[in-house]
Amino acid sequence: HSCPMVLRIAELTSFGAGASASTHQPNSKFTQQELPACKPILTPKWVISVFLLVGVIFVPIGVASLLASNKVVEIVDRYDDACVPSNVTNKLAYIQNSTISKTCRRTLKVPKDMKQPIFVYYQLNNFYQNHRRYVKSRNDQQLRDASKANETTLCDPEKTRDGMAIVPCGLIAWSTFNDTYTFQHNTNNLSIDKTDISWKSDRDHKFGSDVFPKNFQKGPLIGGKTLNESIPLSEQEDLIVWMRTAALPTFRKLYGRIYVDLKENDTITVTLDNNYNTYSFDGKKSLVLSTSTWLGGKNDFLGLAYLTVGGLCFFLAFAFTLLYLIKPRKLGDNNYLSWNRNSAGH
Amino acid sequence: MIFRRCCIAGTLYGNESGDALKDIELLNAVADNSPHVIKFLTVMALCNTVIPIKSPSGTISYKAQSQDEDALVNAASNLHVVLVSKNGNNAEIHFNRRVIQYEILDILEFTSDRKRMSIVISDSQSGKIFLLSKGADEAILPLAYCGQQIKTFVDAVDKYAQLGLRTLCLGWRELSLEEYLEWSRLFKEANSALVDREWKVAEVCQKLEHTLDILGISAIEDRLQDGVPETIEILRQSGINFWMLTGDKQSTAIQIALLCNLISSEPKGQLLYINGKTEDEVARSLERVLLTMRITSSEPKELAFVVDGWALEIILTRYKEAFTELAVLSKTAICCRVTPSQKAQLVKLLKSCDYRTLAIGDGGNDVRMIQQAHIGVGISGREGLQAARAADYSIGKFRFLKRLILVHGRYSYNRTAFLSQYSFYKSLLICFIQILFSFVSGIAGTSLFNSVSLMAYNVFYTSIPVLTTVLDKDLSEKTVTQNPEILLYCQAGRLLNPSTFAGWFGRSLYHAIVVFLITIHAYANEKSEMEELSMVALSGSIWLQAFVVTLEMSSFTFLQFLAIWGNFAAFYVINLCISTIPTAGMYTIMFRLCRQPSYWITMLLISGVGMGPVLALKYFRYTYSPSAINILQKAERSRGPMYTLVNLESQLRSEQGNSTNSILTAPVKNKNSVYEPLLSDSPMASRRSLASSSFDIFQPAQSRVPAAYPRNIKTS
Repeated sequence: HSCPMVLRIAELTSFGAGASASTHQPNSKFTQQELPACKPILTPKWVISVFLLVGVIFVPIGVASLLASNKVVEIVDRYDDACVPSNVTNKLAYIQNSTISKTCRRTLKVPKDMKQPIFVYYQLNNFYQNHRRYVKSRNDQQLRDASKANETTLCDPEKTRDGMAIVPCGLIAWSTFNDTYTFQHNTNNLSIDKTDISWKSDRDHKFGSDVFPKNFQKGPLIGGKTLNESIPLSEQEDLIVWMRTAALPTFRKLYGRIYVDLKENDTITVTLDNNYNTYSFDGKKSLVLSTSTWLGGKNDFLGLAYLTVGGLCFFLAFAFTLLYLIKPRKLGDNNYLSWNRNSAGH
Repeated sequence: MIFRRCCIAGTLYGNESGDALKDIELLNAVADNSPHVIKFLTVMALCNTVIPIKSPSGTISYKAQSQDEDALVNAASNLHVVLVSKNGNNAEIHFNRRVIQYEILDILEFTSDRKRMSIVISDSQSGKIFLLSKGADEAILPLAYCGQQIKTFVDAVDKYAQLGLRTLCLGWRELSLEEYLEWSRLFKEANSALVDREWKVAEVCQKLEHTLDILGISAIEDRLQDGVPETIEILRQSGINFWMLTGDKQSTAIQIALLCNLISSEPKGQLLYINGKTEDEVARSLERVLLTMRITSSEPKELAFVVDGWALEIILTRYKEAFTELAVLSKTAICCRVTPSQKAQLVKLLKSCDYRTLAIGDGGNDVRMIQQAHIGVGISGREGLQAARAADYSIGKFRFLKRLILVHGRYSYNRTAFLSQYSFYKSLLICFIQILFSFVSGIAGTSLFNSVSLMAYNVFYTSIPVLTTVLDKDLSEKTVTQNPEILLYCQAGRLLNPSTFAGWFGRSLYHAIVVFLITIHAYANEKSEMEELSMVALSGSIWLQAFVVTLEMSSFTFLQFLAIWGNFAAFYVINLCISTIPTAGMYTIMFRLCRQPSYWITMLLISGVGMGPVLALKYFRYTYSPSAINILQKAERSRGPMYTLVNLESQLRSEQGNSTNSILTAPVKNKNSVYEPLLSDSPMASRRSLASSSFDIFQPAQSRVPAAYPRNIKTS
């Protein structure tokens, strides 16, 4: 080292301030910033192989994802319009009138063999469960703990009814989805398993087994499902599922599972109670039957994205190689330095 | 500092050998008790604030505030006038085994305005009272009694200054008791004044310091520190302009400037003098210099101007604008006989011209300038630690300035540039994601991330990797010192300017879009649970952070590796821990995600899409329009030692000298592919010519950094 380090100079300067040993610094490689370092540079070889490697990894993942997604059989049936009788002009009045029976029948055709378990979802569109005021309108303490039944902070505007605390309070619980579905498979009743549709952790730790609904849906405006007051919240699975708010305005929530294999071209008849009001905000309701794979439900996005990125990586690797062959640049040629170039020019 | 020559009563000592202490004539004069010489030596030994310290072995060492006094007392003691002790007001001097006791009555302290100091003593034996004075020639010589011939002294001062020696004028006067008592009363009054004390004391001092008997001139050699010319040369190459601000005489200052390569002698360089006694003279002189400067600025000649304190005072009050123009035009300047406040004023003036200023000095008179400058550097030397204490940086030798600026300054710039822009990038990233999310939440202002994540994001998840940038070195220290021109990059603000900032801004926007779109598409429909989706987006950002820091670092020590990927692992550990708390909003979330293959696939996709274009773009730039830093990086890493570059440059210079350029035009034909706007953009681009000196070529006009530095770069 031709130059002494400036840090060391700190020692020299301490003489005036009394020869205190405290200012002495050990000259470790760390304090002198001389730790051995690897200094990679972006050589063509390195960059091209990175892109090749990424391509090689991404394309198979993309293929696998796409295959998985294609294996999923999915039936989506939008029923919100179809389940309103054609003679009804004011859909809102129709859905809000509790005296009319809203039973509706839908026939679904199975496009391909479906292996059990078949997941039954309801899908809502244009429903902003992620709205700031909606998402806040709940009280987790009240849901968990029977002794905190009167804890209704943040639950506006569904806090109390006639001075009594609502359990469960808040807009989310109030607006629980309440359409019901029953299935018939070739004239046989198709049983739907509605247990274990919520997260176990929610049942065990977020919703109390000794917390029972009170004063719920007793107001003039009915938001959705009414709850059986003799069943504790931890067993109200539809409510628990609903209260896992969705981050996007289009979402699916699990309704139940069917443990029967369905054959191609089977017909399924769905009898549904069309209770839930999506008509006031142009929402859509759909019933979804879907199988599942290691990657989840039907979603081509990941597969397509992987294939695109993998392809682009191959393209870039190829393009860089070509560029490198056509226009090679000598590594570290100092003639490219501006000062060398300029002084040599003219 | 070493006492070299002196002129006593018209006789010049030390002319032949260059060392008065070895001059036989002077030694004989001392032995013969020549009264003038004895008086001269007594003033040397007594007129100071030096404190002698007697060691147990009997040798005497001196503690002095100023190195000049130290040199004088030491020289006197070598000439057998030894200051033995100072106890309170009593000073004891040994001369030829005789002990002479003096009582120090008053000390008239040195100020930069008075430019002299005096001391009043009384001889304990005879009871006579004397005034001993020493100071700058122009502060002492006018005080000579009527009829004293001072021409020999003036000539001696000029002669010594030509040799680059520091001169001091010594004088004395005998006082009558009445005069002293009368004066002493005034002096005490002035000293106890509450307002304007400094001025009043100076006033009273002046009443005593007159009709002096000039004893002689001492000349002290102030040796340059090691490596000063080389340091200046290298820093010049890196585009730094030097101004020398000194309290010395003009001719001394010029000698020293020549010695330390600050200016070149004719015909390579030219000195322009601004002087004059009256306003008109100074104005005309300034006008002339400015005109010359304008005309010759297109010629490859090293121009420098010299101005003295008196002219500077007039200029700074009356002709500030013209001087500012001159300051911008000239790369080198010597300001001599300037006071500490003038030094600070000059620095302020340069600051106002959009210069980045660095002031370096070692004396107490540099403190104001050091504090005024953008960067203050103090040399902690024998003149005490005042400058070093006032400075931002304290170094031990002038030559360390090279390392301070080129190595530490440059690294520091690079790291600060990266750190600040990166901080913007990572904060913007999270903000943009929130903004994008608001479009799918009905513009309700819902936060996608929970409060824990938002708080931890800046503190725990993203701060540690980027802090290791303090260990990042884009180029090795050796490369930087061999290619000082690379500092121009920092001066031009190449790493931190609106366009690089726009780059980081764009990158954060792009990454936010990538993270958000991939997250909401991969986690759509039945997976769109709020907590999960938010954690997917957050981990996507963390993955990108890790890759961005990795890509932007130029050198990796194990610490960096540990910080980047350890932090990455810590993110998962922290979130897994939080996921075990039942009351937390994100209870079980991280465990759920880690079990889903789709989570890992999504992360990989975010990293791939986010980093692919960044890497491709970086590689493309790196290879097809590399910056000088990139070229040096490649050179350094592909070849190891950089000897070739040095050879190339020296070869270049010799070629220029012979004004043949046959060899060196060859590699330059291929000019089209590399565009280096740094130099082509600058107004100096047209100035480049083959015959020009090496400095010119590297000088981008708008990015110059002048360094005002005082003369105190020397030490004995």
